[in-house]
Amino acid sequence: MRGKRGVWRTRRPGVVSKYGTVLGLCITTASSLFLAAANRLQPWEFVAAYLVLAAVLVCFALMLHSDAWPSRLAVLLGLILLAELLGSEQQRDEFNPVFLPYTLVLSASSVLVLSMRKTWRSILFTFLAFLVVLGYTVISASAVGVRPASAFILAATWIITLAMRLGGPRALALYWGDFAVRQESVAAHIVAQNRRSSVAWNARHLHDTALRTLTVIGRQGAGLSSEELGEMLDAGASSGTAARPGLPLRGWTGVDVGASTPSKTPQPGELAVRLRRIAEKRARDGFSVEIHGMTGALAGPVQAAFLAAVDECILNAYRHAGAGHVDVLLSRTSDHVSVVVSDSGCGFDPSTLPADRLGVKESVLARMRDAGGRARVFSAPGRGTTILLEAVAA
Amino acid sequence: MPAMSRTSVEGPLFVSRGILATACFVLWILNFYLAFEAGSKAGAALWHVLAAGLDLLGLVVAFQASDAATPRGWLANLRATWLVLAISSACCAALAAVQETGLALIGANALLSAVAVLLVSHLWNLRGFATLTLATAAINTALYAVTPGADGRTTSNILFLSLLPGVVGTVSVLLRRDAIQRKGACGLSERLDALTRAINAKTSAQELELSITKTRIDELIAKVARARSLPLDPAMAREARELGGHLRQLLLEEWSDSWLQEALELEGLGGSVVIAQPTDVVEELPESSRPAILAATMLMVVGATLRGTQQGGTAPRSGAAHRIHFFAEKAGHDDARLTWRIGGVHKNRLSPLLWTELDSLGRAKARNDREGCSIVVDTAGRRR
Repeated sequence: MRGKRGVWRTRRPGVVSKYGTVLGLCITTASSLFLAAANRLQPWEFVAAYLVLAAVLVCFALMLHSDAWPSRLAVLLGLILLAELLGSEQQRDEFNPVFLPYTLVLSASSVLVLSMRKTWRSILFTFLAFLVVLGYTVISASAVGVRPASAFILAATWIITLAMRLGGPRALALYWGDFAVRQESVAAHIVAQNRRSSVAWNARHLHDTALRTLTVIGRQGAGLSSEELGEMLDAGASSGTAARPGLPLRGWTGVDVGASTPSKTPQPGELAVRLRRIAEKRARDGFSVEIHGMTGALAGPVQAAFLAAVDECILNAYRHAGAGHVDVLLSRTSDHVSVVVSDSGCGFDPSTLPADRLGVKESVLARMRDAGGRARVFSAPGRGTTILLEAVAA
Repeated sequence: MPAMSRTSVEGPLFVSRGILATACFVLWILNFYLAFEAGSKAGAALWHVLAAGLDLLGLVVAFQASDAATPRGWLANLRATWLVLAISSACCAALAAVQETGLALIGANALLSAVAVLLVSHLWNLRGFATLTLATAAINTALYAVTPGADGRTTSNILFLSLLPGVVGTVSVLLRRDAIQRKGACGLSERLDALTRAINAKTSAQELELSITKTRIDELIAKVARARSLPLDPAMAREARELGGHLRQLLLEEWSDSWLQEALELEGLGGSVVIAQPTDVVEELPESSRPAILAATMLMVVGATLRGTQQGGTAPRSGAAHRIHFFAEKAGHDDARLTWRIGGVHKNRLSPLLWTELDSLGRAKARNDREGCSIVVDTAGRRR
């Protein structure tokens, strides 16, 4: 029938219509069985009722695949016939205990509304169907001389179903629309987070490697001996600290020129020891670094972040602060580790730090933040600099 | 996967609050009519009127409890109030029930309570809804079981009617959750692929530029390695400074002001949301709350638009979006206050899912004015 023009043209019912049809099928089955059990039916009534019930259920099943009007009409007539066969005269009275199943059988006809299309023909068909079932209900009640309470219940169910037909598809579309937006937000968050993480890692990596070396070369190697310069360049040639795989800086191995990039997985409990090694390496004529205190065992990523951040602070003090001495104080409470790096150099105003200066922003602040910790800078022009690094110990 | 855990069976449970409210109201009218008729015929009109009044009051409470903009802290009280009203109404109806009043009235009353459970549990979770359904069904059935003329058949009828909406509601929620999980898994991977492709296309030019810079730096280092005499040649020093500046510039170009801006720009919604400066607090927001903030912002941008037009389940793009202003500020020692300002939209036009997201952040307060609405959420725990 699909594809034919005119009244025979059909289409697959929507989700709301399908759910409604399944619900109608369930209510019809349950109510019919209840009615049949409540009555003493003649054998022919019994056989006829179950044949009609089977036919109605088949038509309901057909309605799950197509909204063709013959199946809907068959459902309507079948339900009326079923009510007539199963519902005795007494059961049409609202005082009867089996009145409700009788009414529910008729009310199941309201699922026809869910198949209604937005065409005059379909609306008229549905309205006529309502009039037929309502007329039957009123007449059957009048025939036995009882108040047509079932007609009011029937009307109520048709109105509720009409509300579902009118509002259901739009509500469902909105629901899925909102869900799609939420799904998109999840995807966007994941991709944005990955990208920011990559960019931050690259910025940090390049700052600690290529930019440091370029800065040294830009100062014509001032402050370095020939051996140190040679060591720096040799280390750069054989560097294993490649940029993160799969990132825009693939193959940037040649520019890592020996900055003291900490091991990715340092041994636990060696923060003070490793910091002393860094201090020895950074110390040169007129510049010294002293390490005080212990921290105990730390998680690998936290320790790596501390090492790299403290190293950056020491380098900044040497290059920019004009300080001759840096103190590094380590301390630990039950659950927190803090490292204070302080110098008495020229100091600076943290709020006026240029945007392209990645040292403090990326190599210290962002690095500690990514390790789950925090870094705070206390400094003012002429008053030295103190940088507090904190993280959870465990 | 985060998407899966976020599609748990939490409210809003049902597709349309409007349909549920309509159904409840129609059933109340039916109930009222039957009660009026029974009262005039069989007496006990006072109890009937009282039952109808309590039912109406219960409907108002249920309607309020299903409103997405209702503060979440009120919901438990509203549900408890509704339950008390429903039990009171059922008691009145049971007191009024005599042999002559018939089953229609009792059934309609039970059905009204059962459908109202869907409305009152709309913003609850499936477990709460199922529990309330069972409790209501048990109370209704027990009350009617002791009314005059009650028999086993009547009782089973009432039980059937009391449970029917709950069973239908539970099945629909479970089926929809299944569909959400299927669509979610499929849609998320597709979207991730699309966004990754888009971002790769966008950054390919920068990648090329970085590659060229890398080659130049490698060449410079090779030159320095050959020279090795200190001080280094001023020309090499100048080149190193230029390359350093250029490299910094390239890194800055890749940088975005905030994670929220970056994610919104990926979705093409960057122009629709103004994130107030400074963005320090936005950056300090904990990872755990970021997905909800992004989802809420996107639902604000497109949700109202979606409700203005029939979009058929697809998210509208930025062309039709509303303008949002977002501001995050410090509140207290470690907390943050998030403020969204949505121009030209009434809070009731916003997506119910939005309130679920906001609820996961903290207590949301919304206020309408002539030019739109403002939503403020105090969320715990800035990232240390």
